[in-house]
Amino acid sequence: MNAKLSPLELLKKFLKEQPKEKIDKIINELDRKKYEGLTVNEYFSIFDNEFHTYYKDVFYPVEHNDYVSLWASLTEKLSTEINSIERIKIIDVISEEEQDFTTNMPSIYALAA
Amino acid sequence: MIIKGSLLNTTGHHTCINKGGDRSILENAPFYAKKNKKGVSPFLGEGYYYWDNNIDQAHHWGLTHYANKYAIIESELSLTSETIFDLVGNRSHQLLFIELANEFSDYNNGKKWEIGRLIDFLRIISKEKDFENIFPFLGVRAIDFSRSSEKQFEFFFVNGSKYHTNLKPCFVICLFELSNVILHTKTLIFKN
Repeated sequence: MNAKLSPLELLKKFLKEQPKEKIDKIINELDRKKYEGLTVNEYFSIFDNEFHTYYKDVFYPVEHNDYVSLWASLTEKLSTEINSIERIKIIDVISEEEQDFTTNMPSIYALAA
Repeated sequence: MIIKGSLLNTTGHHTCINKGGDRSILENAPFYAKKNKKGVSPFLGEGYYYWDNNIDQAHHWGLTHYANKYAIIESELSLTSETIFDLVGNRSHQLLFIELANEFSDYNNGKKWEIGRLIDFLRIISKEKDFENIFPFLGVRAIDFSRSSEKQFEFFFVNGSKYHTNLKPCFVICLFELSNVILHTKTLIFKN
């Protein structure tokens, strides 16, 4: 139906016809900080998944057992310390380097602080 | 395969952290750049980043963003006007982006978004039924002017005048997916 409309006409149509709530939801998702608003369990779930799929398999194929045990002990330690925190508001950003596991460690500690 | 649109073949340089060994880097590169923890999109939105035929810039990125512990992957890329939203050399695309940005700014109470965030927004909308053609591209290319003004690469149209060009502009390429229509090869050419 919209095949003949230009990209600009399509954008106008989208912004005009779609419910404001729907557009705001897209914008809010773009604005959301990576971990903001997640429950602690959701945070652990995402970080754990990223750790296993990225850090272990890609970057630490040889010495990954050290990191697995480190992660396990860290999770256990934090799970007893942060029970009172329901929602993560802002995670301190220690470094913008996303690809280095070690730089993510301080931000996890910041959670527990 | 029939390739539509004018074709530009180029060499892309992708910088990544040097970890995991040659085989692992080569198998997994290029790496996908996501929003950072502050919620800020990469230059041109989320995707796989290359410098357009710019080995010096690839080294500079490794030095400044990976503490000099980095690797460089070189790839042969085919860019067409139908697959790449070209904010470097396609005036139609540049003008279209200005129109889209202005239209969104009007909606957004006059607030102008960064390029990457707007592109991410357009990509999300283009997944909606009947709105696929808002942004049907597989990647985008743009100039980083902050890295395109080295004096030694300035050439003057008329000596003694201010009119000149610069023959070492820094072109950034962001691919939204690893399509074999665009990306043909990858070779590990450097690691430190």
